[in-house]
Amino acid sequence: MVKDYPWGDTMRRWMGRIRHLGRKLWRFFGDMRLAVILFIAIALFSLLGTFFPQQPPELAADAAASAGWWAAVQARYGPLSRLYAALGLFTLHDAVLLKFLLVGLLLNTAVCTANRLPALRRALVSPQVARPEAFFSVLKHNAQISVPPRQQAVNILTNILRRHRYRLLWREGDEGVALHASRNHIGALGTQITHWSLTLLVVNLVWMYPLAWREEITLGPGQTRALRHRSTVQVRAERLVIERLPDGVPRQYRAPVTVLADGIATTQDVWLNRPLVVQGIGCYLASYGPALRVTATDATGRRLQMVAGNGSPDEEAILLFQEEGSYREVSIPSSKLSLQVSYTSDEGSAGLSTVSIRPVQEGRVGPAVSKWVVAGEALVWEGIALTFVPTDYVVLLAVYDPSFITVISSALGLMVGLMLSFYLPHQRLWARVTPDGRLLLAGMAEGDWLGFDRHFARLVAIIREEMAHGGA
Amino acid sequence: MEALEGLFLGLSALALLAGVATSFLLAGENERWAWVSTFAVGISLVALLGGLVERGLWGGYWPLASPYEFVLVCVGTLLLAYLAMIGQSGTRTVGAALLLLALMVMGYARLGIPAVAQMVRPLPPALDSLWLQLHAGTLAMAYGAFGAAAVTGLLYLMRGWLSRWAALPSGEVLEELGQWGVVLGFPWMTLAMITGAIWAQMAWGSYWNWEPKEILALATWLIYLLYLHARVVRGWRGRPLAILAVLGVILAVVNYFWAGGLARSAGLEVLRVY
Repeated sequence: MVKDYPWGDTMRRWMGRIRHLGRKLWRFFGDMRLAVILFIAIALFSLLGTFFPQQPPELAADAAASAGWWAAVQARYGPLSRLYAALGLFTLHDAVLLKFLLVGLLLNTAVCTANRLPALRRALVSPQVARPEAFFSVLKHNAQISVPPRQQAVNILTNILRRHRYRLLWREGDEGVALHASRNHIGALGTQITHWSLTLLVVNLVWMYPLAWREEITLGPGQTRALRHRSTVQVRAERLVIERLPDGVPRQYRAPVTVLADGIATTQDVWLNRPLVVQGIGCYLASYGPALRVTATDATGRRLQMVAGNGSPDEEAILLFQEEGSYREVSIPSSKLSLQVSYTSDEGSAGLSTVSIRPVQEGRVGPAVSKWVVAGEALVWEGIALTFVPTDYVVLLAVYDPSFITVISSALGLMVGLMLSFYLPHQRLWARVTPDGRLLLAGMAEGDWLGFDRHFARLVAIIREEMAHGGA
Repeated sequence: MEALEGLFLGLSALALLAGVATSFLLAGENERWAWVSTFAVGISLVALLGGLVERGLWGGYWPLASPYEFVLVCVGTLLLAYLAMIGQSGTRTVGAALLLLALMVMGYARLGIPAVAQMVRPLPPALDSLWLQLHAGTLAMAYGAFGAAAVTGLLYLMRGWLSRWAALPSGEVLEELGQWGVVLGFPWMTLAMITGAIWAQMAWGSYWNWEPKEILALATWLIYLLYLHARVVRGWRGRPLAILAVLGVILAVVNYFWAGGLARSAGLEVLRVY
């Protein structure tokens, strides 16, 4: 005896409502039209993002860089900048709405994939062999052929279909002999592969891509810096080498770069199209600029500690310039000397440069004194011998993007899936040899593939001919 | 060396011109002349290949780096598509129209691109990448096949008007040839997208930058995906498919010629223009 609780009806009603809602949601997310709408919405969203500069996510952790980026935006859009920012036009590719659309696409793909599984299983594992006679006239590709006695007809049909690489299943019953033939089984998996690849792609874009970061590192020759995003990893660059063609046109820029991670140093010449990748972090050669190595010695020949800009004291200061002719500050704490230095290299006279020095006292900049110096030759300033060696610095781009491999893999998966669906469509035939000497034949391919028309017509012609000649 | 390359390319252009002339004036009515036309196209293709090989040997790289080289390779893939199309259907009228397109592209390469840009130059550092060669090569293959699809699409759309002057194949044959072109080009275009993304990752550390060039390439790919999907799943036929085939090539041409300028004039963010 089943005990009937007083709240049983309410419970059943609620369970019914939940199931109904679940079915509606399942139907909603399994709708192909939803996929089309989501694709269009994502495409429009992304397209809009190309019309406005998008704030790089890594700027959030760098106040100075963020301020610089915002200043550039204000210079470009003027008073409209704030309005655009309020509308989120500078952060479209990181917007919650875009992620919402992507998650919607993910659900849509998952439900569509799940919906297709039972039919796929039936088609590949346990196809229905015997079909009613009406079925043969419903399919677009069908034919009816007069055949010799049953066993002979079955043998002829088997031979023909096996020649065409069909896999066959027979069932014998009161209504004759039924046959199911299929080929290109792998093509039936095309949609599944496409859907799973698309899922992987969307998962990447939603969850992996935000983990990516990139930062620029400016390094003078021999300088080492720790990465902001991964402080346990240090990068060091040696002097940039510019290989030139006989006419002076640069043929290649290369810089020996060392990455020190977990106590292991990895060194490689980095050039355009050839980054150094360590622990998933790629170091790319982004650009370069002029630099000056400066050393100072006192009257006794003792090396003096120097400080370049806001850096730390060292026996050698490396001044990095935006361009030749601009000034950089260097100080010698022990002599309470502060200088602004600029230089222009003398083209065609290797190692010769014009160095300009401006003294700085209590924040005031004095008049510039320019001298033509040979690289490494001392220039005496207030009793201190300064030497200058022109060189270059490099700007490296450190990039960590865990989504790259999976995005490329899912793109390849998408391609394979689409190719299988389009070029190797799963083709199926049903046949029945009736007791009254007729062969009913019908066929279909996944989708309405134009090539199947011709294939079916050719097959019917061959069957007709061989049946007429008794298989000879 | 440059003289030899010029000789090869000149021979290729002349043979192509002969191929176009014979296919338009004589081949339609005379089977022997039809074979002369195909033979001329074969010579043109071999000479073009010779010129490109010569250029590659001289420059020390696969001749796929400059716009001039890319356009020449596209001429080659259009000629390949022509020969494959003749083998596929034997339809000379469509082939003649495709040859005309190849001749126009060849004419643009030889006369439209400035002489300085045609010279063999050492590869700039940014273009010195195997992935770029693979990207450009696969893209040229795709454009050849899509060119064939667009020509048949255009003939399909204009067949009522054109049938007054020429005996065109039936709409069904044109449709089938158009589909053949898209089916042939789509895998190449997909590979071009993937190799392009890998090249961008190797060169700039970012496989996708939402640039106009990338977006137009994606739009072109989506057009052909829509074509195949609509044909296979939705059973579209005829006119809409022909329009899509033509639209795809228009987008590809816009991308080649104007994406960089378009981006600059619209004040868009451009990392590179190539």
